Amino acid sequence: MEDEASLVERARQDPQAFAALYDRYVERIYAYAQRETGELLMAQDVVSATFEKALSHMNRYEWRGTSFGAWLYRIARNEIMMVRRKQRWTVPLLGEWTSPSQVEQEVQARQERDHTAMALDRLRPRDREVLRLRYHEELTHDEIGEVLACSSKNVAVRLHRALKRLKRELLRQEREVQFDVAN
Amino acid sequence: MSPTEEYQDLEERLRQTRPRAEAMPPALKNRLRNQLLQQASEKQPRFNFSPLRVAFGALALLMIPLLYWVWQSSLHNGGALSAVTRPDTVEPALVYTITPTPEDESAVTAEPPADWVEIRSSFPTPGMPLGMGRDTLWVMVAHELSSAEEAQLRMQLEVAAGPDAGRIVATSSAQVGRGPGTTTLSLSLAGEAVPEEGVSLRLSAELQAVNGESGQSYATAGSDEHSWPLMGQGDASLGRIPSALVMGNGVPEPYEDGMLAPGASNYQVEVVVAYDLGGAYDEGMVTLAYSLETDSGSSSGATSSHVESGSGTITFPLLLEADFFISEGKLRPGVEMWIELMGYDPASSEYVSLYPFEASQAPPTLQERLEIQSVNLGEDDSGNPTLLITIWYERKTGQESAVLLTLEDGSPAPIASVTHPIRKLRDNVSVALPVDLNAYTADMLLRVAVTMEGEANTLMDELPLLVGSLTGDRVDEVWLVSIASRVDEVRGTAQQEVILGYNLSEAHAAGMITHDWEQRTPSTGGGGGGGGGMPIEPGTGTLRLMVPFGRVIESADGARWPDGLHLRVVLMGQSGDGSFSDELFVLELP
Repeated sequence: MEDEASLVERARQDPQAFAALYDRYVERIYAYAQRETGELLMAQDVVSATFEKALSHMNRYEWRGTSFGAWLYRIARNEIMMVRRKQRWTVPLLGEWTSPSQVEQEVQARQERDHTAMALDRLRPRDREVLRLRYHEELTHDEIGEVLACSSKNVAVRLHRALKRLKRELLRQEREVQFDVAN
Repeated sequence: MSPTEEYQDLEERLRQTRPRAEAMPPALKNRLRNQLLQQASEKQPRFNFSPLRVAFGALALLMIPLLYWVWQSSLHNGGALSAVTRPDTVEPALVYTITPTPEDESAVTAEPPADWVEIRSSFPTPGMPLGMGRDTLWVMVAHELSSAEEAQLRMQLEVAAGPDAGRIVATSSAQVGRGPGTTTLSLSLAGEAVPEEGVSLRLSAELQAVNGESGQSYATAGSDEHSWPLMGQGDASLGRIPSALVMGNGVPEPYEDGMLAPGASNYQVEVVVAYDLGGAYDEGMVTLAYSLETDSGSSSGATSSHVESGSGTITFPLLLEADFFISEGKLRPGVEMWIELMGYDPASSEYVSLYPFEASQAPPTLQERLEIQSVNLGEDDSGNPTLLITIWYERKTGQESAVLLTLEDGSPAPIASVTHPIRKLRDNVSVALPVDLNAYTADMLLRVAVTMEGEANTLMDELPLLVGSLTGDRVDEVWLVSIASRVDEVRGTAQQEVILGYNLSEAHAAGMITHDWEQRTPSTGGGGGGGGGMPIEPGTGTLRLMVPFGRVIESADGARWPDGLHLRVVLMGQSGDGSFSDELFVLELP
């Protein structure tokens, strides 16, 4: 497989080569946009805008030795912020309303959600974002640094702190469960 | 122990929480790819995504609950799900399913039970009416074919009972290949075959041989659960609410602000309602009503929100009394909630009930609202200094009225005032108030006030304005001006009002202030979060954020702050090409 640096260089000279980069990353960016927005339509908008902007700014793209994908993630992240600007952020729809008993089931389903996911939900947004980029999107420290516009060393520090806070949150949850059982 | 080793287990658990995402539909992917290639070769930077939206919009709408179900399931199961999952893994509240029906006795099957078909989900859901402009039923089915290389998936809608029972009113089919898969089909009611209003239509699905002369059937699905009442065939432009859902923002939390009646015990919940207002109406209103009847009495309430033409979701924050809950986090079975969508007819200044289809039982209880959103320093066309005040209002009627905006310093007469006409039901308007703040010292606290005559009362809102926060020399910064708790006992909502000051330098064409908030109460484990963003213009200004919910506590120094609230505000600049800068300034509170 052609290495990414030369593929990017070729795409800069020959826009047709951009398709190869598109094929390589479109599913990942689409999945990222879905996870961040929770809506397919919105994710489709984010993907189209991301690749459109990447194509139109190829000449300005500077290869930093990480990956082209990191740049795409950065653009997609900006697009998601744009979406948030255009409409108030709301909880994604979870199903159809039919009866009050469903409400109980919904609430129960939430309560039973995996503890780690719940703890992750309770972290600060900036902690959550860096953890998601690392463990959900599987980006490297260098790539996350490019997405968040900070150094990879700073990413490592943020990750370590976020993991520490997550662990603390999990311990707190466990203590609450034990307390409930005791009572 | 290295950090990696220390958190190895945690890292693995984190990976398992990764929400599943749908693969991009191949047709969509190829089309976007082709458009990009065409754009590249033509060197024309724009391409249009909207045709794809039309094609995939309804499908995506159908997929939202399924997507969430996949997400939920992956969280619960911690493992990957195959494209087709047996129904025992489905959460009943999210996606309805049926047990595969026994195959037709007359059918010739190859090696049972290798072939199967299931009706997974539909839009509208069973029980919701068809007709009245909603003439297409979208259905997603899951299937697995082992007996042949390919088969025909056929779906049909037929009259369920009465003299016309069995009469087929719509069919749709598709070829499916060997193995598991899902297929979405639409069935249209358009045409002469549509029966009379009031009958019930039943759906069935069948996997049959491609050359079906022999009537060979591999699997069937469908039951009386999959039926829809048929409404009259009317104006296709009527509005509708495709789905609505009560969704608590985590465990409801006791609300103890001290601003409600002493001893009152209330809980916070959020209700998300999706709507679709189309056709003839530019504006409308969604009303959410709720009630509880017990042996000892009843309790009820309602809240409404203005909507504009199109589709979207509204989150209603509610304060519900403790009686509504059987225990913490569980609503009592007797609680009923219902929704209504109304379109606004400007010719008659009246609302028309669009959903449910019967006439509204009672007039909507729309509350009139008036809020100052932001205040900026600006200039008029002649270069004179002004305060640019952005307000948001919502009214019961669209008749012409006016708002009065004033800047006050505590003396009887305002420093400056201006009247601005308003005509719409709901709008954001920016009004310039001529005033030179350089005449005041930085430590002066002024007040921007806005008033509007409502139907029965005068509506009013005000915003504190520290002169220094607008005339100071901070550049590319955002800062906290004040925070206060607001309880609307009529609407049953509570919010925290956060006032921010900012200054975005002229080096940027525009900018945005985003905020993420998270709140949790350690004592109950409850919590919630959210965020948003507001576009801003270069210059100095004051901005108001409304954060739903939250108990207010008083710290040792007497300052009041929502308990367990973390707020992160980011200022970003935007260049001429629309791209955002890195974070110019981050304000984290507390």
